[in-house]
Amino acid sequence: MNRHFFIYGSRFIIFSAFLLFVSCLFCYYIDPFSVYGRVYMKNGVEVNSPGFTKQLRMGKAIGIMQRKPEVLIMGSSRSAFGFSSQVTKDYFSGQKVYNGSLSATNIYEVLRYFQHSVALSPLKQVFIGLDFYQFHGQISSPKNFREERLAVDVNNQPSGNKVNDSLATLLSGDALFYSIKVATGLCNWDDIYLINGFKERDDRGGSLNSFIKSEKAYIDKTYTIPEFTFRTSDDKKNTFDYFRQIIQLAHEKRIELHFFISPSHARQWEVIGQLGLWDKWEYWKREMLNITQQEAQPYSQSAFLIHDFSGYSTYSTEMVPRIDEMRMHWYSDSSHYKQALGDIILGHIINNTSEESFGRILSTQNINDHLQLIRADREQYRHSHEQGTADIKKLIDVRNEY
Amino acid sequence: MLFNSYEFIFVFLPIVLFGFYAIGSKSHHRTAIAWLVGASLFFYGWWNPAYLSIMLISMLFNYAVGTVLSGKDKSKLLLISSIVINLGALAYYKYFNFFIDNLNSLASTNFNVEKIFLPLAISFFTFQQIAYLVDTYRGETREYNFLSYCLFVTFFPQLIAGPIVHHREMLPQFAKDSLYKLSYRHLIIGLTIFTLGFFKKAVLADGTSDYVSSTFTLAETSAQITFFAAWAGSFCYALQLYFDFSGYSDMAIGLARMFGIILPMNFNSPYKSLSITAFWRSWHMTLSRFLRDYLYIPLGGNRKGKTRQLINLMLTMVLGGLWHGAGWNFALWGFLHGAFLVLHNIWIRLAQHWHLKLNILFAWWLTFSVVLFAWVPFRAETLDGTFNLWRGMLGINGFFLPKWMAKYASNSGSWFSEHHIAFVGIFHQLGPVKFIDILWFVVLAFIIFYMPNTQQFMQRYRPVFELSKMYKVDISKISWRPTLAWSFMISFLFVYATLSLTRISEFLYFQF
Repeated sequence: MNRHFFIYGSRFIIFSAFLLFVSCLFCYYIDPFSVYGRVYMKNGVEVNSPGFTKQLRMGKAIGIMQRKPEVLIMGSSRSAFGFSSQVTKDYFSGQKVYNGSLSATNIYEVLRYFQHSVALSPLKQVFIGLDFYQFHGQISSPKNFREERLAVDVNNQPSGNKVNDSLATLLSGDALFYSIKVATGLCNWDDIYLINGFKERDDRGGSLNSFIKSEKAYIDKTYTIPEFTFRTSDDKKNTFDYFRQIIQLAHEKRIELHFFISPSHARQWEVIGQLGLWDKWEYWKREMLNITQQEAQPYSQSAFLIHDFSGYSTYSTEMVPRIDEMRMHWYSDSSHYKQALGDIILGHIINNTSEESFGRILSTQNINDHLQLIRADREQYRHSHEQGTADIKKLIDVRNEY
Repeated sequence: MLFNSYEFIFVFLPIVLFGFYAIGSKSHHRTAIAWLVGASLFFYGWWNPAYLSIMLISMLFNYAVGTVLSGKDKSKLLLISSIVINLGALAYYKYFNFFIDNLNSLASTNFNVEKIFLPLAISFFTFQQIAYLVDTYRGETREYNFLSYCLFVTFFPQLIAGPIVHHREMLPQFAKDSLYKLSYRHLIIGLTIFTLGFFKKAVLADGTSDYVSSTFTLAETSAQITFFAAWAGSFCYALQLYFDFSGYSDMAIGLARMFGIILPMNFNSPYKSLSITAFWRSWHMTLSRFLRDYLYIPLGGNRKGKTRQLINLMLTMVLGGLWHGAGWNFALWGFLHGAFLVLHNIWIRLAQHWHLKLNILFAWWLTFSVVLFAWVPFRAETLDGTFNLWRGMLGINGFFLPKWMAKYASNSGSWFSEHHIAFVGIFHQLGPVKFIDILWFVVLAFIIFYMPNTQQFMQRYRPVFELSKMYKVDISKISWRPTLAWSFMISFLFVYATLSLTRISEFLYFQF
């Protein structure tokens, strides 16, 4: 009888070990998350595997470690999608550029990836896209954000507890699943990142449908659940503290930091306005400006500049086609601008220039006038775009009803 | 260290098994026990070494008291004092913050107490030792050596979340010589039970967590959860909790069996129950047994009249609820189950008197529905969240119906909106629900309602004590045997579960 059990056990061990070994080998060969250096080619361009998009936080943490950029772009999906690799490389020819932006990120994550990058890379310039929702203190980091993966802890000390992503990337159901999808060609090759962290292209969306979908998410959840506050969920911190830490670290390491408030579409500002968050939005801008000024003094350095691309311009008031077949030139939805616009704003930031009502550099002298101007522009926009304003109102009414 | 972690499965467990049998096979039985105690303390200390001292002090204290109580001078005062000290420690670590918070809000006082961290498994090892003390006082225990006692308390398979074992079941097993000799039979039976539990925990339970958290997170906001979303959320949680906890119990039972130790049954397909009483005989059975033997019966059980019996039932369940955690939600959960049990008790009497009988399907539906209803406070963070979901379950928050039904309602639009009915998709509030996810839940429901449970699959090989309590089904043709087909199937489940380990989440029962 014991012999039966012995044979059963031997089979169990051999079969399990074989399956695990084959799975591991297969995942290493396919490298579905692009962490073992396998580069895929698409239309003659080096790209990451499609699985990289699904494990963006891991992929970009490792990408920064491997590529050690001198120029880094950070921020949310707006910054992740909104810049073209080629134009950015042209601006910084000869330097290693990486786009470390993460979708649905908050300012804490931006800080943590900035710290990670500073610890691992010879950073010279960093461009950070600022978004109002990132400062909502109750929005927690996504599940796949892992502190231990980053080179330093939040106090900027080397993190002793490093996550070994080998198990997740070689011996996991996710890795096997994506390896099979990549190997069989079943994965989505349209939604991929280049090996320098930039999005390959941005021709998605740009119709009323994509606008409504995006606005609904902001109205139903991002801005409202829970109620918007700058206090963190443990009530111990203020999200501006993380912003302050970014500035302090940059001053300390003499890294050139450029902030810009993302140029979302005017309908996005209408969402903020109709949700009753306008005062907080203005406070957010004022407070960030104050902090950049305050933090420059101890280091006897110039304050980092904030370019404000939010507001009402010929770009942000681009007509939203109500016919689904038509596509917009500057926007994918009311949150995300396209690379055509991203390239323009990058030029303004690098050259310290602006257009009227677009990309103004905030200062203590102009902040009141600037905010007043945006308020006035909003009134004008509401009169001239009644249908768009009504769309937003309807979405908010539906939310309030249920 | 989690059972469902690489370090436990591929490092800790093989080393401990090897050490135990290497030492035991050379007839160094006491050393083998010491090895297991050492390994168990290491396992416990892995989370937080500071907790170790609390457990060690508790163990030394209770063994010393037990030794005195087993002598000629059986002092009732000593027994009562030692129980008070045990419960005092439990109350301090588990309930003190809760008590102070409530005192502050009721009496408008402002006592500021630091957050006291709950030592892991304190409820489990405290209860096991109280039972030991009571039985020692009653003269129902033999004289056990300290090392065996330590293993009884710390044995790592059941230390963290049960099954709550009884000294009568455990200590005699440590004394058997056969235990220390490697038995492929025990090893393989244990490995198979462990793998079934591992699969339940890592694949089946964790696969439901997204839907559960989205519903219960939403419940804590101002959003009004509608009828179908509320029931779906509670249903998903019922599945998650069952697979999580019964999976954990299977893993514990399997691990113990690898060392030749048989543990008591903890789950017996509870969602197949046809009454709430039957549910409690098959859900967390070792806790029910403990509450019955050391709370309900000492309170008088059913010996002091019908009314007193119902009061005892209610009291036992409320305290049982609070055992799970310091919070009004747990008390409410216990109260609800107490009330259901009382009602069922009354129903039985009426049914006997009037010769009434419920339709089986209706009895099952009613039992499962009230269990789902009661899971809400168990999972919700706050009472507000609980009431929000309950309002949803009762239809007060309205109904979302499939979009395609809108065309049938176009003429009565205002009536529908007045009655909080909208055609936006029944699970609209839970975000996009994919067909594959619905299919997944159907499979899970099939497993829970129709498939045999682990003990039934393993019934030929005495997987647990008290097999007689198991639902009787004839599955002799598909029950487990050490065959080629089963070895491949169990290997496949093991590999599947191992590959699912990247989404490590802690056992839900750890907080208790």
